[in-house]
Amino acid sequence: MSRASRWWRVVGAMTIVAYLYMLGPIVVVIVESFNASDQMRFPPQGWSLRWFHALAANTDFLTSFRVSLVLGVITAVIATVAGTLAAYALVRHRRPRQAGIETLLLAPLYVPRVLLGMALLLTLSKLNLTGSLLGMAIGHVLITLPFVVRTVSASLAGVDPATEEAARILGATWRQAFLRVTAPLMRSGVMAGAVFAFIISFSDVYLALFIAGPSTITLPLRLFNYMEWEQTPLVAAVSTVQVVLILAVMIIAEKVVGLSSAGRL
Amino acid sequence: MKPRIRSLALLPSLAIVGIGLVLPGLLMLAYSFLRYVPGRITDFTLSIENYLRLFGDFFYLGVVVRTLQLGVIVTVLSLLLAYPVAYYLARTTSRFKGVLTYLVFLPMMVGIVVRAYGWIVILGREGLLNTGLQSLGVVDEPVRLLYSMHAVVLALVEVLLPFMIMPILSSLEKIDRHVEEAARAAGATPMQAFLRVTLPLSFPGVVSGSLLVFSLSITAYALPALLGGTKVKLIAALAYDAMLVGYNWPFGSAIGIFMGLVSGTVVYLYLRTTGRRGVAR
Repeated sequence: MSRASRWWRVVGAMTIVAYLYMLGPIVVVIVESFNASDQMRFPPQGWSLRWFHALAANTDFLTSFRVSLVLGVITAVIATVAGTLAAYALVRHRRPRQAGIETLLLAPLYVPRVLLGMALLLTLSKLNLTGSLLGMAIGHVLITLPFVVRTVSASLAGVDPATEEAARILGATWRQAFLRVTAPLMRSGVMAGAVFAFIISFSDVYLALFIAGPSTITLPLRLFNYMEWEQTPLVAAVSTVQVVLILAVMIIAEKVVGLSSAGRL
Repeated sequence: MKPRIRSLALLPSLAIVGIGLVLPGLLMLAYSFLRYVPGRITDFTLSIENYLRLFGDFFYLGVVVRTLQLGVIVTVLSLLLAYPVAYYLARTTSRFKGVLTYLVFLPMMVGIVVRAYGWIVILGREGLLNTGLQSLGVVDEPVRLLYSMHAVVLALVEVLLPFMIMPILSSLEKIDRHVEEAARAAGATPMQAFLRVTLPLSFPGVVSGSLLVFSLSITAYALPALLGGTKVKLIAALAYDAMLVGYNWPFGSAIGIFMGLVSGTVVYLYLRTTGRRGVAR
């Protein structure tokens, strides 16, 4: 064996180890959700769907599932509309102070979620919005907005402004030029932004830890609270449903608009 | 688009960042300088007692030091695990490259609570590792692996790996392959070519990945809370307890401002090294 291929094998082996390490926790959770025993045990001694039945009868988890779904959709809609408008203005119409505005819009990515949660708690309590769906939506739109701005900007950067100008020269108003020419071209970026916004909102626990109220306990927060006391395979069943849902959203988005073509985050 | 319409298009996003980030940040700064009064949070008297308490008490200083230590350990381990993955993805000609890159992102989409449970299944009393060790006869009794600093480090490294892999991958992809080939042609072994040529050239990615992982690990709350038990107290847990258990918002805010300053410095350095500020890059 040549030195080069031996070297490459070492790199390959280390890569496999890293992948096992990254994906292992999710794989064991899915396997564990089919466990037949009363307590967490791995590898499972027998197989059943009992924990999925238990989940279907658990009103707490079902309520939280609905809260997360509603919140995710509201967040995705608001973040996509606001983020798309901002991305369009930023990419197409460069102005002084551009860098400052871009930094500000991307800032939620770089501020630790714990700090965002704490600061939002202080603010929402002043506005009497603690525990409300509106308060949660403000927080979730904030953390998902940068993703939309990025994906839409990336897809817009690939569209030649000349196409829009050509439409204008041919007599279209800027609104017509935007709706008929530019909008269809940035569709994949907008869809990717919406999908990421939904997924990030659906899986975030940090903001909910600080600003959720009794009627707005999201699925990740419900899991978090439950896990502090009990670790039965019910948690695994809930997690499996969440993983399947997120995978489904990603696969559908990939098939419909080509998520990966919309530019890396 | 006319300038007025442009401002209008930016308005919703700026309003969200203003209400959700700028205003709350200022409010936190203000709270951190207010005096705490049990029962009604504050009487709106200015004071620096919160900062004096944070830096004047060996208990809190110990927590800060332990948190920073954890950040260094997690960063080093992430780097060691992430580099081969990034190197493999950058150099492979496999048709599965796209799928493999996707798989790095996938766990991020699932969220940390699910993955924390994964670690409980792996490290728990009757979990994968204990069952394995017992059936191999290495140990007779289940070993306590959960609710320790080790468990927290293991899980944090797993969760933060993508943030290390991506910057290294993108800096490796910028390196011309021929540079490495030239070193090989000049007689270097693959390892020499890597150590003397590729590794130094990928340094910017290593630095920015490390800064990002460090900043995220010193502000982690959820994983340490679920996997560290009561023994592992980190700075974010202090802040959480102050805010939601003790309702001492002024002290919690002071901890928050301190965390913000540390992670803000790290993120500033990160943005400097990557030079990526623009939305479309």
